[in-house]
Amino acid sequence: MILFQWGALLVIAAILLLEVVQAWRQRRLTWVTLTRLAIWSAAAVGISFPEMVTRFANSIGVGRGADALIYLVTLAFIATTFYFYSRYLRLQRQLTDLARYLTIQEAKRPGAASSGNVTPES
Amino acid sequence: MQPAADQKPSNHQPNVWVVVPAYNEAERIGRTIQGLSCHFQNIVVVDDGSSDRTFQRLESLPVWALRHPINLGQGAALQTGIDLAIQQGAEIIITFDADGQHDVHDLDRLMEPILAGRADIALGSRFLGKAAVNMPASRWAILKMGVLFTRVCSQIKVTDTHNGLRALSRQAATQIRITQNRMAHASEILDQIQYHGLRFEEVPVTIHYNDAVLEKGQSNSAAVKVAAQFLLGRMVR
Repeated sequence: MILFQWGALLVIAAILLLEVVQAWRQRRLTWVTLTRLAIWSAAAVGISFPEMVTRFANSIGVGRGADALIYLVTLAFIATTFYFYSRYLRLQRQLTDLARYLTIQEAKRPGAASSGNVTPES
Repeated sequence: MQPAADQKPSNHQPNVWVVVPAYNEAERIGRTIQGLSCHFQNIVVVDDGSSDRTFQRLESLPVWALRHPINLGQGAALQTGIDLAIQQGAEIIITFDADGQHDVHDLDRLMEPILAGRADIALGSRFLGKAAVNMPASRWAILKMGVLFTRVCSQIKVTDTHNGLRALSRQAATQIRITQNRMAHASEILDQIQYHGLRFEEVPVTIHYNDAVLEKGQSNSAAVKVAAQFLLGRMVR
């Protein structure tokens, strides 16, 4: 193994250990934690045995393991961008609705010295 | 300038509300409201979190004064004003810019298609005969590109896509919901007109351009940003 592999595996091992300790303390293993553990474990296997990534790439019709990783990362990036932009828009709309509610509550009628609750006209 | 009564059954006077979004307009809002208040009783000004004394200026004017706690954008200010107008029983809602570029004398003709029952929404157009006073050529080109963009994206045939002067029936105002807080709201309104199958009519109006209006308004380069905001907003709902 080369130096990079050792370094990367050490970092991943530390992260995995933290995840496990955290789950142990909370006495709870959620599917989110399990997914994170699976992703880090897959990364560790991929770094330790690069030929496995190449075999996987070949099995799905991609020449090199590095190319397969680039494609996967690109897809993940696009999906994540859409997800967070959608979350951002939803938050922005909620903030706007809240600000609008307060604004209408505090509306000042023509000639009114102070604000008051605005009710619909009958 | 209250609408003619003979266009509706009996002597019904429609309850007309004018919604004016304003951002840092302390200098000009007085003049704009002065022109409007001679003809309309119900005026809502939505101060969009101005950093100048716009809201304080409103207290001495005969208007409903609303203030967003933070700056949200013109689209959000319009929707806030429309919500209040609907809540107060408006039958026709007019949107009017605060910077003095619109002409109050156009409003009777703007409301006419709605009062006559021909349209649910009347859109002002600066390209239908009446002159856009002092409009720079670059602004003309950008607006024409906007028309093309709207025709392709929203499948709606209009001559002016970003004109802030509109009149909406109560039904149209209730159906249309502006979610684009900033300048892309104009495209969104057209998109929703098409989506809801609302009847619309364009009415020639005059836009008065001057240095202050051009300086305060959107820069030509902002057109790309507006188009991107509109498209992203449609893709990610």
